[in-house]
Amino acid sequence: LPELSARKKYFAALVPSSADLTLGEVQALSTTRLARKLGSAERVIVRSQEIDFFGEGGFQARAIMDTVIDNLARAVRKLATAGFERAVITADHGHLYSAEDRDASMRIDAPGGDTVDLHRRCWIGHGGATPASCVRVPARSLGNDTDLDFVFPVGTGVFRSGGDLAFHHGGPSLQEMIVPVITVRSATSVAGPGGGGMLSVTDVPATITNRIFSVKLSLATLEATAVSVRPVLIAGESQVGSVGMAVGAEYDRSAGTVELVPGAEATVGFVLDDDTANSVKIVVLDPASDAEMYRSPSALQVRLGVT
Amino acid sequence: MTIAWTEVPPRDDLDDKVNSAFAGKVVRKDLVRKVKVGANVPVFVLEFLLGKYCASSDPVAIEMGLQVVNDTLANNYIRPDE
Repeated sequence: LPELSARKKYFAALVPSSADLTLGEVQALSTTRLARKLGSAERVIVRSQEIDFFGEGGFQARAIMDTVIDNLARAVRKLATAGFERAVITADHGHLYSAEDRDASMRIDAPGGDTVDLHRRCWIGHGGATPASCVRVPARSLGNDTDLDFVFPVGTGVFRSGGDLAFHHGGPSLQEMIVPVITVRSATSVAGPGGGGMLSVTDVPATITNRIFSVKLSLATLEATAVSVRPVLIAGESQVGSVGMAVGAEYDRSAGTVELVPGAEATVGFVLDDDTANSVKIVVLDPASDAEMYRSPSALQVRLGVT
Repeated sequence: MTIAWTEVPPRDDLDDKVNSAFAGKVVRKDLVRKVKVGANVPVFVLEFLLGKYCASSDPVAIEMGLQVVNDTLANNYIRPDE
């Protein structure tokens, strides 16, 4: 089925009591409106192309991808509150994403000849010269009714056809050929916000005019042990920013968590990843359960001076 | 994490007034020299990045913003000998 509309029709015919939403729609709808929209649907398909879309987006792509993964987890929890206790998360392919742009020597000259199509990880055509680091495969041997040839890089190199070297996919890489499947079972009654009143957030700017700003967090509790929290920025129901630095508290960059010591004030710096957000709320989550410990009572307007 | 505070010139009343009147639109030109070191990058590029990430008088935001600017340059700017 070549197109999304055809695939949607096929699924609707297969499972009449189904619903189809994008990840953004799941994020944007309140839990009540989501439950109403899903109605009596037995299955719901949630589609997301954000990771593919942002992959080519330069240095902030990884941060945005992390945000999308958090949004997926949030969508699973939200659907659980709407009664969908089993979620299957999958993708049609993976991708290769280096921590930094790789050496320019990873670019390979395309085979030339009669080129029908050229992607970074695949050449299709007739003739030409197969580069030493590539393999030529007759399309017919892969079940296609044509006399064309495919040429693929054997390793993780790419043909010279634009784009950067950090992110790419396609060709016969392990990441491309394995379809990942994660099944999540959730309790359908997810706990609501908890821990309110213990955590206070102060020095919050009235308006966000810079992509990076700081607030002060403090925790009031009778226990003496440090408490781990994960502060994030939320627009609608999507995460649009996270903490990038903490002063006066331990900060775990990989998990995005801050260790708050009771009675001590910590300054945390937020990075707003999404320039398109008009307003955001500061939300502090319990990293173990994602229960909300704090949510801004009102939205902070975003008015960036330099865009 | 322990951070070393970036040395920035002391703010005066005029700085605060400008930051207050033109919040988010003030380019911290005093920081250009901090990111210029060792990077053969046009000043207008540095000023654009500083305007984008360091348009603030908040020291934590400045510290983080400088990290972002330096990371941006390190990841995206090609030196002539590379």
